[in-house]
Amino acid sequence: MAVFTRSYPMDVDDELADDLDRISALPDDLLHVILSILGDATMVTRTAVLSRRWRRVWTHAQKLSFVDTDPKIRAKPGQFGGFVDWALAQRGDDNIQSLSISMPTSDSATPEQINDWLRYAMQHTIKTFKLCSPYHSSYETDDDHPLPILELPSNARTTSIELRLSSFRLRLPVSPSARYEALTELNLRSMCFDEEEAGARTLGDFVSTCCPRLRKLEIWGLKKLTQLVLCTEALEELDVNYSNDLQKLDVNTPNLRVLGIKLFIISLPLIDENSNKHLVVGIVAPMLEEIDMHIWADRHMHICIYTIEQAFAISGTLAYACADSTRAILTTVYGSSRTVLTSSI
Amino acid sequence: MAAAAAEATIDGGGKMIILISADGKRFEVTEAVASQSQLISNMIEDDCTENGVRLPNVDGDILTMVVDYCNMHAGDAAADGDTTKASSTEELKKFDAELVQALENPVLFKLILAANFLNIKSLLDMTCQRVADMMSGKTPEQMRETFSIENDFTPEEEAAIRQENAWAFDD
Repeated sequence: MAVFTRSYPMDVDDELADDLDRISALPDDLLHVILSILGDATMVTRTAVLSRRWRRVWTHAQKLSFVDTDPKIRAKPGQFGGFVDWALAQRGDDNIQSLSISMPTSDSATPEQINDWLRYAMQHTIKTFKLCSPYHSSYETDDDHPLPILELPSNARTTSIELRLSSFRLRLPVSPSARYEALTELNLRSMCFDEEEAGARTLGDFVSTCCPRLRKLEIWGLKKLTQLVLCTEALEELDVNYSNDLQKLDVNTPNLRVLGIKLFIISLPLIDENSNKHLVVGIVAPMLEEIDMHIWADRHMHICIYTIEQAFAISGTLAYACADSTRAILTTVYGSSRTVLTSSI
Repeated sequence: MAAAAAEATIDGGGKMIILISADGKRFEVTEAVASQSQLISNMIEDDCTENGVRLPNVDGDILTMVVDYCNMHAGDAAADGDTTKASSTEELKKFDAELVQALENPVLFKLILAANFLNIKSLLDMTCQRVADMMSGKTPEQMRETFSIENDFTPEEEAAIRQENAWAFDD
């Protein structure tokens, strides 16, 4: 069956002299496969100069990912941002399936540039948009240098958005008509919120009123997010992780099936004025199938989870720790048939 | 003969299918072998392989290579881990390496088009990888030479394009 000895090419001697340009005859989608394997931005960018056929091939790929892994390029400030600007400008008004931008440093682009990318992405990216900036600790608690603000536009046609923006403040769209009609997955990491800002829209309000099809919400390490109040029909999966300024998590989700909460709420008493605040968690989720909850806190917690009978096939773990054992933890899971857990320390 | 073969079965191979190239060459393969082509797999599901599968845009010499490749890789996809699979890992690597090394313009590009048309992802990945390897590390001039690409820019136009992203053209 196997033929090892045959030498290729066979029966094509007449074509060996063939010096036709066959690569340029490939359709764009196959050239995109080749260029995505080639990967390296220098090589890919060079192809634009091969001939007129190649001039706009790479910039019009349906998936573009900008990642700077080359320390030499990283050393030149502004180059990464300028390159992304240039490439997106080449596309004009064309839509793109998937766009991913990972900034090598948080100053690889100005906040104005990043806001432009957000506007571009929300308008033109059909499937997935991912924007990341690296962790940058020096901004964290410096009140004299407030974090630059990034604004989510009022409308998006994207189905999946992931933003990881540790050295920025995210402002959600305030317009009453703001709408993320197609959005089914939202993943927010590391950015700071400013809910005390006049007229600001809260994350809970944004999700509940602007994202009618959101099925999966994951938040991780959000700063200055003190409350998350969700009331949404479509949500099936919610993950709340290490957003440790939270004082109130109130979730009313008729179709939620998977819930994960990981919080680490231990304050340094002399520094943190939040140390005597309570944490209140209320979950109404009649369809809940899976719950994974780990909360470490040194303060009063009141956690209520309302489900209905079938939800008691709950898998996963309920874990609580109390750093200061003199404070109370009250945990109650309510169901129609029985109370699963009431504990008080 | 074709009809008889199409109905025939061989040991462990299941039903046979006839593939017919653009120049009329016929290839008899098992369903397991042919199903690595997503296109043919769909045709098998839709029960329209009875009279042989005509592939009007794949030449016989290219189809020979595709069939060899699929014969070699049939063990990959097969669920049962019998003898063909046990001996295959080393042989497959050798086979793939020899195949891909031997590929030159224009066969390489015909094979890419065939893999794309027949929708055989592993073969498409492998052949596109070969092209990417042929481009990697090269200047535009070297790429043009490798693939016989004619530069139809004026010198001024070319200079302007290089200027757009000058960093990519520094050597």
